[in-house]
Amino acid sequence: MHAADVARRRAEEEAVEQRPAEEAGVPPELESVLSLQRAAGNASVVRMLWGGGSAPVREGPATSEADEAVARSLARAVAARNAVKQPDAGAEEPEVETGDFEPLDDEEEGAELEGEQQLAPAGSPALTRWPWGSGSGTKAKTAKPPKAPTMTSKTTFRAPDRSSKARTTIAVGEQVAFKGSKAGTWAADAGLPVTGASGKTFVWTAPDRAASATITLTVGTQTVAKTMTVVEPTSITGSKVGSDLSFPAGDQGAGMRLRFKYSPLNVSFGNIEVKEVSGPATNVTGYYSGLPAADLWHDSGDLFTRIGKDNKDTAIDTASFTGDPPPWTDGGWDWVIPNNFKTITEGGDGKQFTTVTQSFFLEGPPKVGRSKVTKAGVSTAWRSP
Amino acid sequence: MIQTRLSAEPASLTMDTRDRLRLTLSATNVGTEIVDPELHRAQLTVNGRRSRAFALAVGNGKRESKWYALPPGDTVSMTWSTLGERLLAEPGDYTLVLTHEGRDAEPVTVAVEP
Repeated sequence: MHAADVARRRAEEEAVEQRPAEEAGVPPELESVLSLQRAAGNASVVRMLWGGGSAPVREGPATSEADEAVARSLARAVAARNAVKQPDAGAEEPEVETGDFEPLDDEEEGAELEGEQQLAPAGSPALTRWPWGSGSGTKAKTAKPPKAPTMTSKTTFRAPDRSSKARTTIAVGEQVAFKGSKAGTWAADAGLPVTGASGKTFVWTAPDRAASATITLTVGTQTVAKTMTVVEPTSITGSKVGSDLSFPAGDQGAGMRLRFKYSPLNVSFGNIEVKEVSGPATNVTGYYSGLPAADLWHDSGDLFTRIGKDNKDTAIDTASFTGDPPPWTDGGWDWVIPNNFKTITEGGDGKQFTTVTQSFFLEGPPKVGRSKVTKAGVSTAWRSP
Repeated sequence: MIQTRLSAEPASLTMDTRDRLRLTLSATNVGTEIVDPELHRAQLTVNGRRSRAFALAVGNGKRESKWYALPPGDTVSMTWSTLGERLLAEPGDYTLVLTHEGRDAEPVTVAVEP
């Protein structure tokens, strides 16, 4: 080595020696290595680094000159390692403080990544300076308004007309599950529950009577709402079950079994019950006109029966009359039967929503004793004794 | 085969309490197969006179499925609580007999005081 070079290098090393190792560019983790080297004496290391046998050999701890040489060498190795970002196989995982947070859905994760990318795009000066960069090149964090929450809904029952479970027209007592894009607080201005615990889902039951109900999800300062139209049953249609009823030969009579279906069919009445209300006969004619009113009274039993999710009654109805003695003449009567509904969680007598007419017919000569019953749009055949 | 039974409670009434009468028809399938008991055919006589009110009551209305298909050993029943004033027109002693498929069930008696 040239004498001038040696002198310049010596001056640089002396300048470095007067600063703390960290300030001189020696990473803190190397300080322990240097300490060990000092304690053990590192003349051989110094000789190796300086090359040849020109390095000074001293007794006792290594000199600061030797320390500096070791430090520079190790620092170069560390720098080289960090430049290719190879993980140290023996190193422990760094402890990262994460804090508690709720998992984000895809949309939210996308938003979060977008925010991070604005702070430190790949290949930016801020990233390449890390970990020794001062951070002065980091872009200012730009506040971006959070995305407004969205809401979807799904009814528990599918309507008989197969319309979507995402429908917003529902029956009294129907259950609907709402789902928000983000967790928040829920509220309903009708039905139950009125409020929901903070979360992404809200299971709600429509009120007992027709209404317009609005379900609201609030996330921070943002809200999203959905209005549900709640409808009551409006009408009943009947269909015959099996063939007409049989009676002993010679006996007057006619009858049938039928099942009722409740409309509208674009909602499910699976959470209601319906009953026929007892009442008097009307339009009494001919053969029956002279009878006491009590004899023709309609005694329905006044029992509520559950409606299936397909809007069909779970119970089968019987409509019949028999046993009227000869001589038979023309005659008949009607029962105009009030029908009440109530939801399965409701008490009391319910609410009338329609009437169903059941009519009885008896014929005199020439088709003496023929009988027929009609109800809810269906009819028995005429039956002779 | 179907075995029917009639019960009436309470057995003693007044003219003013006739609306408290509860009349129950029970039918048991004592056979070995599921059968339709055809209970719409059941007839009730009150002091020997057929009751049209009961015939219309038993022959109309919604019923559970067993009413139409009764398993062996099973029983189905129906109670009416609005027939008292129509079956028991005036003070006196009444004998009620349920007839089904040509067989009479055990008669029951009800007394109505003025």
